[in-house]
Amino acid sequence: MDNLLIALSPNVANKTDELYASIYQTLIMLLYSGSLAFIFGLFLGVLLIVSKKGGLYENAYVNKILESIINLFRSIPFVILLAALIPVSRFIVGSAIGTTGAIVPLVVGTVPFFARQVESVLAQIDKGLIEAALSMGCSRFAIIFRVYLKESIAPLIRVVQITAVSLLGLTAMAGAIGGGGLGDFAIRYGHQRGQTDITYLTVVIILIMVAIIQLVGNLAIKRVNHNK
Amino acid sequence: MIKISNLNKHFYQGNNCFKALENINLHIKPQDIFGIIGFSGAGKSTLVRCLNLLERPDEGSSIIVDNDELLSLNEKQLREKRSKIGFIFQHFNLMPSRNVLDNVLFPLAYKGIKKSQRVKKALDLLELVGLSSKANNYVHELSGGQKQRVAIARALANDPKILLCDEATSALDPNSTHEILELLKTLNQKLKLTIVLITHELAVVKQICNKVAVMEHGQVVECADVFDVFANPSSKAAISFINKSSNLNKIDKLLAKSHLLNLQENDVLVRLLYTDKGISEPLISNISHKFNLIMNILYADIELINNSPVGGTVGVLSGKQEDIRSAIAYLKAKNVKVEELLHG
Ligand SMILES: Nc1ncnc2c1ncn2[C@@H]1O[C@H](COP(=O)(O)OP(=O)(O)O)[C@@H](O)[C@H]1O
Ligand SMILES: [Mg+2]
Repeated sequence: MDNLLIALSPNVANKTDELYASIYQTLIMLLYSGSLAFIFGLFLGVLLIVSKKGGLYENAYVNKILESIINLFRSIPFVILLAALIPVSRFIVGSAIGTTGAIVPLVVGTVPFFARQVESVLAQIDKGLIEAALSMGCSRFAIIFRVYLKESIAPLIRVVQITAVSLLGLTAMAGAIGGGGLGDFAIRYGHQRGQTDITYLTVVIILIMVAIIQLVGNLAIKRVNHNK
Repeated sequence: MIKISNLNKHFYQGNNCFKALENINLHIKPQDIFGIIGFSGAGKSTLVRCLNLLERPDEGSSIIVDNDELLSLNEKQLREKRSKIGFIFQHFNLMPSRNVLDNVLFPLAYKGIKKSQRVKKALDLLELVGLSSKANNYVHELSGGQKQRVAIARALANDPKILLCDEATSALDPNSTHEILELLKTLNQKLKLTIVLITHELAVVKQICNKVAVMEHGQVVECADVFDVFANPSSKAAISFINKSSNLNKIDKLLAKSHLLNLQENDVLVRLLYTDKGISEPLISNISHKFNLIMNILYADIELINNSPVGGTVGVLSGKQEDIRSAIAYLKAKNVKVEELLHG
């Protein structure tokens, strides 16, 4: 493995361990912030849908507040979010730097994006299905799981896939606050020391990660999709 | 079984208030197949959706279903009640990510029934609607008629006593429509099911209903036995439905070109409408014998509704003037409505 890497990028010869550590850090950030963003984003996406006019738990007030917050956070560029959230990070995870410190801004940067996509997926659910479930005596709470989410699994996987790829991009930026990871690695060596081959190597590695996300997602969609 | 009193329903769109249902009173008896017919926008769907509170009527309305006042149930009681009121839709509303069996299992889940029993129940229902062989297919693999069968099986999962159908056959071709209606008729008898059937097609009412309510502009304008509505429609909507489905009015076109009819002196063009239950004698042949007339039939449209003939005949009576008079009097005495359209 090392030999292959060195053949691709001579400059990586004396820092393969550091490269592996970067890959690991990227994966950790992806996994932790991805999981958290998934949970919060799904929750907020569902909340957006059910609180909408005509929704199961129609509530104009909640809906309006949620809309505003999501729009607000969506409009803040991620690099600025990184800096702005330093005190929050310190408060929540006890650190504002490093891989752990990056998790808070990564989650905050991803949740609104994901919640919006969840919302638009759930909005595709035929109103008739909700009515059918209601007419069978299904509770509103059960409908969220048994109709909205269950009937949207395939498109939900699709948006998880898209979000994961965009999150991967954000983890690279998190290097700016010392978050580590492949972005950090590329900037430190590839950019600052002019070792362009390292930059390309990280690009290849990230492309491979993206390809894996695509592949796994597509396989999962294929497994669950029966209506096409 | 269902008693609707004083039912009103408004919709608000911005500041506009639209009265979708106005003072509806209906009484649906156990095992009725109760048709509700009306043109699009009459308020039929709104009405039937009020019967399981998918749509909430205005204050002061009363809907009693199987001895319970729906509007005074709490959320949990209403859910319980809804599971005892089957509902099928024009567009089936089956869950596309589930196969046929899982769709029928849907209303049985989380009710404390053992898995094996649930599956048995679902398979029995599929058998009942004639779809056993499709249990493992997905919804998109079924024809419209098959989808509606699945929807019916699903609606029956919790052994309801009532089945509400909102345009259940409007998305189907004539063959499937016929089959689904026959299935509903069978279920009505086998399961003692009370059926409320919304439709904009007269043929549907004719095929299976025993009672019919005619709706127009949010009101029930006529409600009676199907035969009576067909024989003696009183509302504009009912008359227009019946006229559209009958060919007896083709004569009106012909009347505009009366020279084509080529009536001889004394001939009378008549339209006869049978409005009485239980006419069984061959009236036309009787009058020809009795009064020595000839009746040249131009159009006839006679159907059996609940085993009584209803409809009419258009034809030309030829014979002596006084014989024609007597024949017409004779027919009128038999409760046949006679219209003299043209004299030769
Ligand atoms: N949710 C709603 N909001 C406003 N108006 C509605 C709503 N549902 C139905 N209506 C109106 O009520 C009238 C009756 O509709 P509907 O009951 O669907 O008629 P039908 O089923 O007889 O075609 C229509 O004019 C329709 O526009
Ligand atoms: Mg309708």
